[in-house]
Amino acid sequence: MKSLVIVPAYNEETNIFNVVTRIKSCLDDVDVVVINDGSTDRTYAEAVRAKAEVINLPFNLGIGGAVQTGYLYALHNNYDIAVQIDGDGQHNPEDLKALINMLTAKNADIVIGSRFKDKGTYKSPTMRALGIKYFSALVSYLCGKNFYDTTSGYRVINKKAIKLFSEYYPQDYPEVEVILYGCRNGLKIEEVPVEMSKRQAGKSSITMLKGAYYIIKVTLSLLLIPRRKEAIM
Amino acid sequence: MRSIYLFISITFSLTTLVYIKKRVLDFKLSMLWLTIGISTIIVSLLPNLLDKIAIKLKIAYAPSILFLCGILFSFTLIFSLTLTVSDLKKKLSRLSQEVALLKGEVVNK
Repeated sequence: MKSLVIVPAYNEETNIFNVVTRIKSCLDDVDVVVINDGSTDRTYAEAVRAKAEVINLPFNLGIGGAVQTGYLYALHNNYDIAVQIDGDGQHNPEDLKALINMLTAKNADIVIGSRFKDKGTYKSPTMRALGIKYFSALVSYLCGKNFYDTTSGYRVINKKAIKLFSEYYPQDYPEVEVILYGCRNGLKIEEVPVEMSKRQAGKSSITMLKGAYYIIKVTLSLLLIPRRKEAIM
Repeated sequence: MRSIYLFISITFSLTTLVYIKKRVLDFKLSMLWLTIGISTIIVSLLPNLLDKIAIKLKIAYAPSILFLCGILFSFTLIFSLTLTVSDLKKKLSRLSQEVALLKGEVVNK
């Protein structure tokens, strides 16, 4: 099966080389594409140095736009599996095999690398932990199925989901919304426990000030997702 | 005073028409402005019209109809602009994604 690892990166010059080389050392039969989301630093040069394919967006589209570019790339190049992994080094590429195996074993359309299912030593700051719990409860209720880590950006998806997300993918703060969107469109979603470390360097894109906006925006978009299925070509 | 109002209304309508002819203004959006221009011409030609409408609608102060129309018009315009901006944003995002993918293909060939 043709697999693609999508690494969205915005100003990640310090992490991107390590992230790409670690992915390549863990899995040798995958292609890695770095979506350089209008970075102003040396992200492009570092990604090229790590021998990744690099797609340069002309300006910053935000995480949703960048990830969707990766899915479009996967669709155009006929990949069977697409992995989304953050460019900041939080996600451990050693878990990739487990995620991909789960996708094929359980015949799932999306597999999420979860910090809180079963094991996991990841401790998030208290305010963030509250937000994460709130969204797990809300998404679990709306989907009618338990989800433990809705904000994780560590995901593996199959062709059916690639097609769906190429058509529509939320532009800002997409992680939570995508789960419900997938559920509503009949995708089977599973979670696999993974370990996540704190950011290796740089700053997270979500500050305390943005937190309130995040919660309101995501809650509203969850409640407003259409109930009908969208046609998957 | 009436002739001043009339002059302003006609100038406004003519400017709108000139911009439509030059294709600077999108026709769909300019319909709103044309409607406003023509309505102001009518109101300045028939000043009693406002009073009659005010009596019909039981509005004590006739000029407040103008304010009401102005506010409603502004809301409609802002809303239609927001729709246009959202649509443009979506298209711009998709366009930049496609450009980036194409550029990647060209570079890798």
